[in-house]
Amino acid sequence: MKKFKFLVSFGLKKRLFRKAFIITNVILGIALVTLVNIPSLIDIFSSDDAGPPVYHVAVINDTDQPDYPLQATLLSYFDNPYVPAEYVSIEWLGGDSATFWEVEAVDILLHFTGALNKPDVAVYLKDQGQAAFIMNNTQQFLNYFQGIEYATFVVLDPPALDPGTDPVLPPESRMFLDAFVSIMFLPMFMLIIFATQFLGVDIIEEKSSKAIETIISSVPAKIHFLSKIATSVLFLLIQGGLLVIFSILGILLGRVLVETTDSTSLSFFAELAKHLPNWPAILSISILFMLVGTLFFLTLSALVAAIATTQEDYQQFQAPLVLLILSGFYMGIFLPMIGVEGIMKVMAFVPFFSPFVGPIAYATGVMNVFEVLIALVVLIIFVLGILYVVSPIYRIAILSYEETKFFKRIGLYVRKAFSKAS
Amino acid sequence: MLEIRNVQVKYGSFVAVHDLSFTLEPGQIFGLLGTNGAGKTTTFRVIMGLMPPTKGEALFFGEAVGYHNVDTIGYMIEERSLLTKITVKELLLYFGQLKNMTKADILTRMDHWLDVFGITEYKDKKIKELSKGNQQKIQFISAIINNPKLLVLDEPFSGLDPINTALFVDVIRQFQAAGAMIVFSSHQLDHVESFCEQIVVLERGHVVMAGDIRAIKDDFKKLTVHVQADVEQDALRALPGVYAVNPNARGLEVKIASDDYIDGLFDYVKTRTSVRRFDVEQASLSEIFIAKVGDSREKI
Repeated sequence: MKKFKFLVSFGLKKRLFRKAFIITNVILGIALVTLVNIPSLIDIFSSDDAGPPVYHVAVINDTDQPDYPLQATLLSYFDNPYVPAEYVSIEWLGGDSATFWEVEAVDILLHFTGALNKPDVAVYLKDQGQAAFIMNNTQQFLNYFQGIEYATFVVLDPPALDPGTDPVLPPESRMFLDAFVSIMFLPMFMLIIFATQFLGVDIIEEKSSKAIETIISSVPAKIHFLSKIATSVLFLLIQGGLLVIFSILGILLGRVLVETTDSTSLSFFAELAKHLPNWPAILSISILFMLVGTLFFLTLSALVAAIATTQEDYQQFQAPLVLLILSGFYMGIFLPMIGVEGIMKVMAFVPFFSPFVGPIAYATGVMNVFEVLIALVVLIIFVLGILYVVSPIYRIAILSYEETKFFKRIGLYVRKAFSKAS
Repeated sequence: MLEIRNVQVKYGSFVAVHDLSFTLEPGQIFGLLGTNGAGKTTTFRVIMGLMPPTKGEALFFGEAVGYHNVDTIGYMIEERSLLTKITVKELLLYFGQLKNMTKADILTRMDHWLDVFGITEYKDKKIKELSKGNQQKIQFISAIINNPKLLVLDEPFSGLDPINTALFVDVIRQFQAAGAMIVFSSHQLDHVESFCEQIVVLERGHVVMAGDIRAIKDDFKKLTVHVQADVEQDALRALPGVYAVNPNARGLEVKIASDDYIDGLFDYVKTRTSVRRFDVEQASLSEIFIAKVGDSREKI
């Protein structure tokens, strides 16, 4: 245990106090702070003429006073520098929220019914964030002109879509899910690639320099193997933590830039929470899949490095592993876009792809909590199995310098590993 | 005490080491000789517990070598086995701590040995910045930093100049004097001859010669006689027991089959004029090695 701890701390120090690590993180930090603040930066550098988007508002007067110029009178209440509005006239023959979503020319529709002095107002919104603003201003208008009783508002939710046409999410939520995927899975992909590369290079460096003989003469190969994996997982957590810190720094800097407490970045997270109300579950499941998935890819990377004899060998052997990780990443991004539920569900159970596809399948509603947890358990069992199989092969491979072809070599090591074990 | 008992190592059907046995007492130096591929490195791996023997056992003070007792063994492999991107100090701290040493002990011993080898100024240099000879010294220091009771050295002198070789020999002698057991292999047989008490010669995994060096040399009947006189080479070759006559810068090297033929040779030489040298010498280890290994290659 003492040697295991020492190997882990030595491995971490070797990685964290390297110039490459510091330079990479300086670049990553700058990139992340910039990315988080892109909206603020665009605001700063864009001309003053360009203001917030103009909302197209339609007012339908189906009250007991249909001739009252409701739309014209409301204009002064809605048109302000923060939420500029432009009124449009449409034919509204009544309908549901789905019908409203099909009317592209309108962003906000106020449907007044009942008595004008105490109307019922149905508010149709494509941007749900403006609901409070609309209701306040409408109420003020009614109060000022009529000194009358309060209106009754019904804010209609986005329409429930036909699963046959769009099984997943409404467009707004889809947009936020895409943003979530970018925020969550791109760093996850990068971290897994970093960790597997570092692990492989670390092992092959020791093996190709023959330092491994001195090391394995002092510590068992199994301890060496597990210490390398543990070092990489810790490194990944530290690097992940740094990315989170960079993002928070970016958000704080964004606040300074826009000189307001309600920064764009924070409002983005508020919007995310609104569109993906189960985001804490999505985040937790994603982190679990990421940890187990990383362990899986690290184990494979350690095996590949142990089988290789030179740096060149390793570069050649690790290419399929990188392709596997890349395939999972792209499946996670593109399968929800093409809407192939069945394939997504199947891939979420395939250990090579499930670290990426599993959380996405859950986030998009293709899998429920129960199903995604089963996929996670399948992945965990598979990883434990892989660890059990790889450990004895690693013990043989790490001290062998075979120059035969990859599959012949691995076949030989497997035979040696398990014939000795038996 | 190190005991190698009937060790056999097989890779599939190939026998890398066949029925090897020897014993080493504290304070003894043991030479493991053989041509390339003879099985020396495999034997070292067995001694270090890196490879379990197919048959037999390697016992270190009565116990099988394992991770419970390996911290008192020092191991230097044939090739350079250093992490080149870290400094000398980092590397020695790394290898030392893998032997369960404390940092303070490692630093004290590191300073001592760097001083002995005259490379103190390289302490904070990266290994890759060092010359090959200095890298070899660092590798040697990494093997002895834990003050081992057993020192296993695979070709420790390879690539060293005579001055550094003498330095290595001196340090090995210090460990011997302190009661350490030393097992080493070398292609430079003059080194083996100069300080080994016992040797084993392996050829394709088989023991072709084993035991005390003096006894081996005594057993080996063939002798070399150095002659400086006005003699005719053809006449020498015609003498009974003479099987080779090789001229060199200092006269002639006459090989005879055994000491039975010394008198006959001397009787001939003394009949010649200008006799300046007649010197009988036992065969060198190198000659014995070539003769024994050559013979056994045909048999194995």
